[in-house]
Amino acid sequence: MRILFICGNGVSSGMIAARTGKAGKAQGYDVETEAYSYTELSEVIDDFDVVLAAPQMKCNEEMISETCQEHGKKYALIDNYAFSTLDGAKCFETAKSLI
Amino acid sequence: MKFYSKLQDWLEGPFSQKMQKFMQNPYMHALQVCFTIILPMIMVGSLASLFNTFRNFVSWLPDLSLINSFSFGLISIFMAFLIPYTIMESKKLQKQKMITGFASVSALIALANPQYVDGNLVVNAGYVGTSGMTVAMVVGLLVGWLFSTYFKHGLFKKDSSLPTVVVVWFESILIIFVLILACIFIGQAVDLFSLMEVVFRPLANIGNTYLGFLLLYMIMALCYCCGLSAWTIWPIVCALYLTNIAANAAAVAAGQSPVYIATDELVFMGWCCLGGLGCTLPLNILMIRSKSKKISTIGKAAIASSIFNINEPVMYGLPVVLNPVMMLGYMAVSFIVPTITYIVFKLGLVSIPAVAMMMNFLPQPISTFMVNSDFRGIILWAVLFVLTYFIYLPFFKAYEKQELENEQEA
Repeated sequence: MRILFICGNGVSSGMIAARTGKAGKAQGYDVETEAYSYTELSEVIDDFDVVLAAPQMKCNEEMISETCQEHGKKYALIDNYAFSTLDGAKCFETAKSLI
Repeated sequence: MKFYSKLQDWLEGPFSQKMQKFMQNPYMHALQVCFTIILPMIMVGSLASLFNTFRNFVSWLPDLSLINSFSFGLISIFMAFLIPYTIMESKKLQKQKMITGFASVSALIALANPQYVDGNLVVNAGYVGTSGMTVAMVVGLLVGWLFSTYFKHGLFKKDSSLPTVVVVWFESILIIFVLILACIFIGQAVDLFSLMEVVFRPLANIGNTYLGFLLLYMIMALCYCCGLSAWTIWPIVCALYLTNIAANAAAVAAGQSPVYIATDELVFMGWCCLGGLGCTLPLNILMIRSKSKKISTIGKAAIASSIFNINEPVMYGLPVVLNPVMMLGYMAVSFIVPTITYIVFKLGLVSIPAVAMMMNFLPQPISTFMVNSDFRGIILWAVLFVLTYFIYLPFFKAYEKQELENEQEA
């Protein structure tokens, strides 16, 4: 399972991406996560199964939704609380539910 | 309380939606994307400059200025390519996006009116580097608009029997030919780069006044706490910052004092972004010490990022974003901190940074010392830290009270 995390420049989503990967592996899944800037979404989306966007991506949601639809991938905005507390388990559940 | 929740609803609803629409037009998007993607080039140049500052203390270190010349020093070329490329991509013109980017670079160089001397292409170094950024942005946007309109319209009929590739070739050849021809004429008739500088000089001058300095900071802060990307006006701000730091460096090289305060090194690495835009590091500490379990949990999780000046966890966690009480405190800080900083530097109490580095993620006050090697800067930083802590305190307490009440009810 490959999960793509996006935010402004790929930095703030980097930490939650790592935590989510850990949470997934702890549950016994084969998980790979990476964090990119939303500007690179259309270039890398095909390498992943699902997209999780940081809360601050709400203002770019239209573009994200369009790109995801074009490439046939589902996406979700990460819940504020989960993002701020680096709740990898919660994010992993969200990703799992989308696939 | 009714007004409060109505305000929040409006902020999160109609207001956000209108701003989102504005943000997502291809041209704004292209400008923002441009700086994000080219950032590594700016950082490589910054690293070289940073390394060179150590030569002040250890004189036998090699001079890495050339690394700067080939990265930061070519930034206008990168921008000229990337802006129209991104515009074409947004408009789904995938076939022609690359050639549009290249055509834009040709246009930029043609406009720089280079000379051919003894088989050498001699072009003004500034025009392809930091001095040419405004021209690169304008050229990039214009070429992006021109080419996307042209290709969307097309030259040939839709049901033409020619293969797509051939159609693209012919269409491309014509417009690129015309574009380059036009740019050659313009480039030889007018020094567009100096002209742009003259046109933007008033704006730059405003940006360099106290009000301009303050306004630029507050607009970014306002966007951020309203849930919009603070990168909205970043192209303008970044262009100003880069021009200023280049001017400061040139002044120092000529034995004069640097004068421009509005630089990334001063604002983001030094004194106006303690823990991120809006000085949220003291706020993060308040959060950790909070009686509210929810807030202190977020505070503890967010502190690692805050140390590296990444404050999305704090902004979206507390939250500050779209939270009227905290927004007030945030904007109060965003008014007071740049004001004090500007006054202190204008009075010459601390040395103005004059070396390009642009490393916003380095922990402060380490980066604060790096930008100007002046111990007095650390004192200013400490003062601002304590001040910000006490400005946030009442707003934080008010919000904490709300949160505790909610937690008790639950």
